[in-house]
Amino acid sequence: MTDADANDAGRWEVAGEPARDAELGARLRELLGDAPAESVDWIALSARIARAASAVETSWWSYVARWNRTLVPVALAAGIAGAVALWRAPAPPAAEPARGPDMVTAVIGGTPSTDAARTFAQSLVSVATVATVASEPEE
Amino acid sequence: MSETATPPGGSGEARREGEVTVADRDGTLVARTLAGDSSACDTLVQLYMRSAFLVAFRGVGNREDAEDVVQESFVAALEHLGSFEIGRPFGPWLMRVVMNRAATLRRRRALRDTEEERDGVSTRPSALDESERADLREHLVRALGMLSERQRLIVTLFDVDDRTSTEIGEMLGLSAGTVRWHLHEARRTLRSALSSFAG
Repeated sequence: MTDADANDAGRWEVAGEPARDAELGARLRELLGDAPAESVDWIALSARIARAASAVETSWWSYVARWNRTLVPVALAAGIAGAVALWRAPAPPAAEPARGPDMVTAVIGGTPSTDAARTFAQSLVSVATVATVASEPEE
Repeated sequence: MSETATPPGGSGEARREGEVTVADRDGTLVARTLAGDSSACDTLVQLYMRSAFLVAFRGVGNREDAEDVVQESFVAALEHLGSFEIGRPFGPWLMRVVMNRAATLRRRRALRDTEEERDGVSTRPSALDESERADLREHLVRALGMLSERQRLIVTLFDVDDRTSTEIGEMLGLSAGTVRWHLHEARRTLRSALSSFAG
């Protein structure tokens, strides 16, 4: 704000109430009309607003807002109860360590890939042979 | 001082004795409304419905639209009540919503009128049918269009609705001095338009 504006600010703050401009007021009133406050049904309008406002209150976030004081402690209590139940439950039996396929075991064990592939192919052939023999009709 | 000059008092927040009471009262009512107390909401409506209607009417120019604007504004305010800053008066916050809604409706209506005129279905009397009075009105309308939304509202509330600068300041959240400055600027523009017409 410049010095001039600051002076203006002081001037307008201490200035008294301006006089009404009757001519301008009359022109504006002729153009814009008086506010028809007396023809408003204030009771009906406030009822309309109340109806519209009650529709706002039924929106999902208002339910959240209204119930959050109840739901937060309930959710907290449920969480604590669940944690206690888990803590007191018997430990599940220890699972055996999973064994991977022979080829994977061989590769992990440092067997050269060609040897591992050969071993895997042989195991497939032997499985296929067993299956074929098993499926042949007995004579 | 030009139309776009900074009004004295900067943002011009009202700081009068008694405002704290209004702000405290409104803060309590808003907090109770947020907690689901519908009677507090009703009290807010009763407290601010009339001034909201006046501002809306000055924005849109007819009773029916003004009532719609008031209803929509209260609903919008209630939807966003969580963003209201407790400790400030509710009235100016609501009036900003009312002014925005009224301006939106007025723009929409102006667009519709333009389309109707373009389509040749306007029912308004031709300016040629009216005399000098119509020219004067046109001058005044144009001059009002040169004012900012706030200045137009202030000069109307003061010179047509006979509100004091203090009352207008309370409505709009401005100091009385800032209202007087806006009034001065608005009157200067309007008088200039009227005198150029007379000359």
